[in-house]
Amino acid sequence: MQITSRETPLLPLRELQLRFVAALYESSDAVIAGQLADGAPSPAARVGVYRNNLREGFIAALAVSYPVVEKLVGGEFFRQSALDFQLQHPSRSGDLSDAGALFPGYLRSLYADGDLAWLPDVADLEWALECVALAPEHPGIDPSALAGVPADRYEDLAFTPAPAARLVESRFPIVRIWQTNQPGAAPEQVDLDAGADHLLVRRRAGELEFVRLAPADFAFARMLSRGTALGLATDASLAIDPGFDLARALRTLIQAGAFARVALDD
Amino acid sequence: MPARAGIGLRAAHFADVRDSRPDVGWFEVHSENHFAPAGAAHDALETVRARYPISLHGVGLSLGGTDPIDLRHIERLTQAIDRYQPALVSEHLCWSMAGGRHTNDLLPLPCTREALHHVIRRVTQAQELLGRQLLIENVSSYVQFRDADYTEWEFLASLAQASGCGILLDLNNIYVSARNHGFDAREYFAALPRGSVGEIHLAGHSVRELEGRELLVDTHDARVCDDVWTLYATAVARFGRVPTLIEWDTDLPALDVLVDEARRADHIAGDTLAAAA
Repeated sequence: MQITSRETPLLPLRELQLRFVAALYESSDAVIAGQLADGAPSPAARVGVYRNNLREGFIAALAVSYPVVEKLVGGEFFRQSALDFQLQHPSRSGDLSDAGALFPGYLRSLYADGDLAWLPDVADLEWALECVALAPEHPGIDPSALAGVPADRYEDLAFTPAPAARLVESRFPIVRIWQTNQPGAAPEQVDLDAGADHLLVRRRAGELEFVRLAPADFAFARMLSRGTALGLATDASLAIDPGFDLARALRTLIQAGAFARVALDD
Repeated sequence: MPARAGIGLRAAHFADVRDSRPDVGWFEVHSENHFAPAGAAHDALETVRARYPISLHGVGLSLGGTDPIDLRHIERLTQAIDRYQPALVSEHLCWSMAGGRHTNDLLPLPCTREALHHVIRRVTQAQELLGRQLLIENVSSYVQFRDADYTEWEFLASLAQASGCGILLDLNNIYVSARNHGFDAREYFAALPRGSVGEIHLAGHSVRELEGRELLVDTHDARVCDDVWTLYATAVARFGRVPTLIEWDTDLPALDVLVDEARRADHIAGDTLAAAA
């Protein structure tokens, strides 16, 4: 028996909305069968307009956040990657520009090993640049702020990262890759074995900058940025590199504007 | 907010607006594009708001949605309102999210009793959380749900009356929906009380062919069409002169084109009121 629209009442609003979203994301018209007013073009064709908006809007927003990734992999590969990513990680926010936050991790889950292993790291860099571009600048902490701290309390110092500063690392030369793929930049063959990047990405006086860090200093900065107290972070850095120089590393990071605040962690 | 025409402020025009200081009454931005407290969009809006009144127009709050209202979104909107002190704040009569999945689109509600009661509660809640009145905009729609208890205009008028929200009447959206669903756009105006419209939107749309039939799609990528200009004169005659926005989001033309459209809106509004006097 054919079920006509008259025999299926309109669903409660909650159920209707859940099914409509499923119809868009999962490309299934069956879940909302009988819920839409008839007409020409057909309800299915009309729903297709929303489905197209959902896909194209998402791809376009992701391309705004990841122009270098798009350029490197090409438009068609990027579109398909964006659609696959959208199915696994649908937008959760009314601000679509948030949707790209998980894209580097998604790329890493697919390409951590193999020919595209550098791609997630380039995506990390692009997301860091976007976050830094939209965060308020901070003058950083004044080195003299540490002068009044008793020597026996140094190990309890806790640092808060500056909002317009992000740490990014890669075993590939991602800054070179990023720079040669900027609009107007001269194309360059980048040697993927040219060396690792350990970066503090920051904005100062409106300009985005890359500060290169020594590997041990980078590991130290990352621990501090995650809230590890100075004493523990120092011990861990010495375990990584016996030549780790605490005073120099701290001076470098403070001068680079990595931190917004330092306080005794009681 | 001056009762004249304004234009949308979009990134491609930031420098031109700053340098040429166009003769328009005000600027509107998408609230979500200015959630970040720094960066190029923030700097541009700071410059513009020093010289013009502004309006924050939200596209992501999902007021008609049945997921809990997104308090993080409300918080970011509150911060933007505190930062930029807009003369008007608006949202849409729509829903966008269900089960945690956002579509970032303006999806139509069924015009049922249940949906009306729901959206009245939600608009009331949003106005309480934001501590101010919202203008709520009618959206373009491509589908209609079955078993409606009301027409869209009855639905919107009831929402405004019960929640105390104002109406942002988008004439292009009325035109698009009227053509897609086969109603008379002028019926819409007759249902809305004279003092209820706080802002008007004008925009262009596209015509797509689906299954050999036309469907109008709200693309904001063209000049306002003649039929919508005619609707504008009718709307001004009924609702008086209110702040009127030229919206253009895709395939942005030179800033001059938007300023020209705004000037045309001001002329039509002026001529309409002069003829009525």
